[in-house]
Amino acid sequence: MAEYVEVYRHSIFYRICHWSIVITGFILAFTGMQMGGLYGIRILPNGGVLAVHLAVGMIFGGLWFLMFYYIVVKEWKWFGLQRIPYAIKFLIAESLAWLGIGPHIEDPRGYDPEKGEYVEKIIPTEVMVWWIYFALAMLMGITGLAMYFRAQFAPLYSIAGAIGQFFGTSNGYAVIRAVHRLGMYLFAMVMFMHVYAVIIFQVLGSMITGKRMERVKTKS
Amino acid sequence: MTTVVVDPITRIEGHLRVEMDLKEIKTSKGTFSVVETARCCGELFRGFEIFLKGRDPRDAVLLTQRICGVCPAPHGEASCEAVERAYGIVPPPVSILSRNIMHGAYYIYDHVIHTYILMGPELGIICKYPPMVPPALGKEGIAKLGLGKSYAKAIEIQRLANQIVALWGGKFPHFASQYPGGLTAHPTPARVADTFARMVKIWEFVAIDMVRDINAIINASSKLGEKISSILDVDFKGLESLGVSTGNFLSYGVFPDYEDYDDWLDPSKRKKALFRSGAWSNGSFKTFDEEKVREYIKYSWYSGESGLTPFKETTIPDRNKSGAYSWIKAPRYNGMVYEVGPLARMINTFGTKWRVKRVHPVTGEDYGDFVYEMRNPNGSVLDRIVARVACTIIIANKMFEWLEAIKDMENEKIINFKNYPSSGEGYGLWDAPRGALGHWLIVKNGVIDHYQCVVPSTWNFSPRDDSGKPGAVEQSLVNTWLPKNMSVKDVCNALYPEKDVNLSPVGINATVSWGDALAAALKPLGLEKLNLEPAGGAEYNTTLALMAVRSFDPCIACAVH
Amino acid sequence: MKTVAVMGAAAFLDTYGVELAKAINEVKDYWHICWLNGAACTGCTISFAQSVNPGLLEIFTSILVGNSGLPIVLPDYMETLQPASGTLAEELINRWKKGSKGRRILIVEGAVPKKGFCQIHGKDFYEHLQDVAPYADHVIAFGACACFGGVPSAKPNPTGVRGVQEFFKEAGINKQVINIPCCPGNPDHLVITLSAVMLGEKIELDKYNRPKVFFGKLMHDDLCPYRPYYDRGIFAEKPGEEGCRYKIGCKGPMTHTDCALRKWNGHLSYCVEVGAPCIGCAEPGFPDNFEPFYKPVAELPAVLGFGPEKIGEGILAATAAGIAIHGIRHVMSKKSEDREKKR
Ligand code: HEM
Ligand code: HEM
Ligand code: NFV
Ligand code: SF4
Ligand code: SF4
Ligand code: F3S
Ligand SMILES: [Mg+2]
Repeated sequence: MAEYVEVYRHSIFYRICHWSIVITGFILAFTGMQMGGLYGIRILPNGGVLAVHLAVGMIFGGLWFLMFYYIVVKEWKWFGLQRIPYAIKFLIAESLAWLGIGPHIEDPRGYDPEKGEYVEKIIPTEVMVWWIYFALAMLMGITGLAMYFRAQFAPLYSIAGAIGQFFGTSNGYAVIRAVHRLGMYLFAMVMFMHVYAVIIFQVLGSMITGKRMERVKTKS
Repeated sequence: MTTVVVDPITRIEGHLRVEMDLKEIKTSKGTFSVVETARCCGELFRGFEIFLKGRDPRDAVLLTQRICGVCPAPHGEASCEAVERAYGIVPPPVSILSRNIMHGAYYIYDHVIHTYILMGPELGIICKYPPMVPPALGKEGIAKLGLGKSYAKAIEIQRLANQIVALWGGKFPHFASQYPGGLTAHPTPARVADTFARMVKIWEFVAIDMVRDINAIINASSKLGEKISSILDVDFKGLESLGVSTGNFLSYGVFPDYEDYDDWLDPSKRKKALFRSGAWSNGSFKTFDEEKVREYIKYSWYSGESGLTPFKETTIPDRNKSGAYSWIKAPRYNGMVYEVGPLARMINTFGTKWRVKRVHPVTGEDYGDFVYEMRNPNGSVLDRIVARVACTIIIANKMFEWLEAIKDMENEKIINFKNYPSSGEGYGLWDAPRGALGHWLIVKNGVIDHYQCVVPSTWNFSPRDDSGKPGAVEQSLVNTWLPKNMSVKDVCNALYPEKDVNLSPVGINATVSWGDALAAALKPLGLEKLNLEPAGGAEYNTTLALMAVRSFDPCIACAVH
Repeated sequence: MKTVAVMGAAAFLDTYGVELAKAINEVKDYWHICWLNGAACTGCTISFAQSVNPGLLEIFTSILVGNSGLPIVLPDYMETLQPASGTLAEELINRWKKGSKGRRILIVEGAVPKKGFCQIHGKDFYEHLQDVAPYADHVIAFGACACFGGVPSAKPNPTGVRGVQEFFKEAGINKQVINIPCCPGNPDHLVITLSAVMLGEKIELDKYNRPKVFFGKLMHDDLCPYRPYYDRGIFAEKPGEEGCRYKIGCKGPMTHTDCALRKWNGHLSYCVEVGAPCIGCAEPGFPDNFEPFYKPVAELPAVLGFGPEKIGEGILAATAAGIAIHGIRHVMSKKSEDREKKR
């Protein structure tokens, strides 16, 4: 039987950042859907949705900046770009196993209480989740700002217009807006998978309390 | 053989060329040139029936309006009804009523502009009736000589009428509000009141001024007949002997009853519409049957099969086709040539004797009925222009009933076709000011697969059909007198030799004849040779022929599309 | 000229009304106008006749040169209004050509088709254009068709029409055209432009040669009275409903025009005001770039006909399905593990 030990996994800063992003993300999605006239959503009957969307968008951007900073400075070891090939290998192997073509990889996560550090902190694919989230946030930020500050983003409009030719429009604004809209769905998709993952990999509680029972492992 | 060509014919919509082969007739007074046979050539093609394919059917309501900027409204309506029929939906009564109001105002504008601005100048000149001549001497001339008085007022009135169209349609030409299943503009109290205020002024012009003017023309026409008969020694009764057409009259009906749209939906019925459908021929009313409409193209610049129904026919331009002479196709009903227009509307609805009430909508004052009995059973310039005026009054009267009715109606939600059927077929049949207008539509995969328009001026200005029968206007020109080497001044002086036009009010110290007065007005404009066409070494005065052509209110953008 | 000097050129271009009539009255010479119709529907002429302050009647009867009785804006040639037909009509074009230099305006209504599709007096319309263009001191294209081809240029453009400026380029005619688009052209736009030309005012044009005073602003951003609805996310879901018209296909977000402010038919109303969408008739590329008219602007139509939200919904459905399948198997395998453990 494996041994477990309680470890302080996420700092209070990181947790606040995370949940703030979640909350602002939801506000953005709903105000966004209201503006886009999607699904009859109307959460702010009389207020300026665009103003709220923009203001929250700025906060959202700020939070991402903080999280990015934190990841780069404190968690690069686990979330660094150099880990992506490893994450992909892991993903392929696990997928094959799931289809019954190969063996499962043992959960690599583990904590070495002696050294007082993780042997492996995350399920390897989490690194991709993080970067995809990050890329999507950038995409939403840029397209969002471009829609608001048209003059400053004129070059982007020409590019978008050119791309639009292949999709039946030469209107740059339409393309940017469509990308922004599609981005919301992609965000939601990643979030669904993410939420599912944190549940099956039993880490949900740690994002609330900060603590988790980690398997004891030693680096061999 | 001498052929006189008039190209372009102006003060009409579009590019029309008319060719007339002349013959000579001998009477006790000498030899005179008259038309033996005529050809109408539509000289513009844009290809609406081609480029509509593949588009959202609802877009056709806006695009087909651009067939003609003089009569966009009927195209919008016909198109809208075709789409509604294809989708199997019916507008609610309030929308039918709103549409009637918008289209009613539009109709008045169109008939006013034709009667005064397009056709009027000839009538004014030939009938020696200054109010209908253009205001060539400016405000002074209007004030002191009455020259162009009605012409000038007509410009104001058509503008008021179009303001009503704009109130309901956003703008005119090319309104934005007609939408399959309804009308996007609601009958708000403000809209109804603004319409009413304008309608009162319009009614007064239509029922009072217009009737006065048309009565003057009717009277002058008989005198004109006597004069011309004595000059030529022929039996000519005036404008009722000019522009005589076939005696076949086709109309689709217009202005449905908002309380009984079922009556409207079957185009062979339409008994409750303000003007009903019908295919009058041989002096009696016949029921209209949509399936008897065919288009022939032997003499038109198109390739493909001739004589098909609008659901089947094609539009394949072929400018070099030999023997062809027009972009206009040749529509026939039951294989025969039919005239369409206000006269067809009046005769199919009321027969040959008309009585129109003239009771002031606000004061209740009775101005006496306007009564007219058709002079020429085959149709003529006079019957056509009087029918147009009669239609205008009938609609102006009706506008007040509609406005009254709509005051009490709640606006019902109009239908939106988020999930409209992706296939279907339908037609929209509606009488435009110039006559019977039909749009035929087939929808496949949610887009237009087939679109055909058979338009009033297509009927009237058609070339010969495959059996060689000339179109209505081509027939109506036959036997028209083209005075040889006589200017407008000469003709007018011959008709009205007396010197009784006093020009001193406008600073010219002379009392002259009507012809001389006209010449004085035409000269500074460089128009002494007005309506003179050189041919075979002589000059022919085409005024009467132009009157015959214009009495049909030609619209070539419509005819060809 | 005084009136204009006092008002300033820009303000002048932005106004109309009695002031305009007064200002034009101070020009003491004829302005010779040749108004040609090509592949047109004549809607632009009819629209011009709806002009107010000054109205058409005033233009032709009040604004005269001295007491000549002749209007200052003398259409030497205008098929829809002129008395003369046929040969004499053609002659009138020559009179226009002989008109005084600097005072010859060519107004074109309708597009320019290829050979054979539009003929007047036995001559193609483009030949007429070629013929008169050298004499024109100012060329004004009135209406969408004359400016950019308009409705007859809709794909597949069966008659090969194009706008006047484009035709001039093809024909090697080096002439600047002032484009006054919209379908039909707005009478105010024409009357004010004509006045400015007559008074020698400089007319600033945008990159499509449209006067900036009329077409310099984006309706959606700068002028639309329904913009507050848009900002609050209140949309008309169907034509005729209250709210911003965006969702029923309003092309205001890509249309530069002052319709929302100036309006039509005596400043009474305009497309959007009656509950319909703007269809972008002031822009080059009308109508093709703005169709389907009732489809919202921002939808990226293609990828096999699926818009972003359809694609997005598809992705989410697939994700949900994936999670469900994975989840069920996850639970099942957990159970069998437990069973094995028990054994
Ligand atoms: C999770 C992040 C975000 C989501 C889910 C989101 C979602 C949306 C949605 C659904 C729309 C409506 C688009 C349409 O009608 O198709 C929208 C519009 C908009 N978004 Fe976002 N958005 C996000 C972030 C941002 C950010 C960061 C900004 C800028 C700082 C931004 C700026 C805008 C603007 C300006 C619009 C209005 C575009 C217009 O003028 O119509 N958004 N957003
Ligand atoms: C806009 C929505 C969200 C964003 C952008 C987001 C982003 C992130 C990121 C970047 C991480 C760190 C990387 C990782 O561990 O994968 C993370 C971790 C985590 N998130 Fe989210 N998240 C979102 C929604 C949620 C939701 C709705 C939940 C819970 C129901 C959740 C629970 C967690 C947990 C438990 C972790 C910790 C994983 C671990 O300890 O390994 N997240 N999230
Ligand atoms: N002919 C015709 Fe029209 C009318 N009235 C059409 O429907 O004018 Ni342009
Ligand atoms: S989408 Fe149209 S109605 Fe809505 S704010 Fe923009 S221009 Fe106005
Ligand atoms: S609102 Fe749009 S469609 Fe209507 S006239 Fe103006 S530019 Fe054209
Ligand atoms: S002529 Fe007609 S089609 Fe448009 S540009 Fe003018 S309204
Ligand atoms: Mg046709």
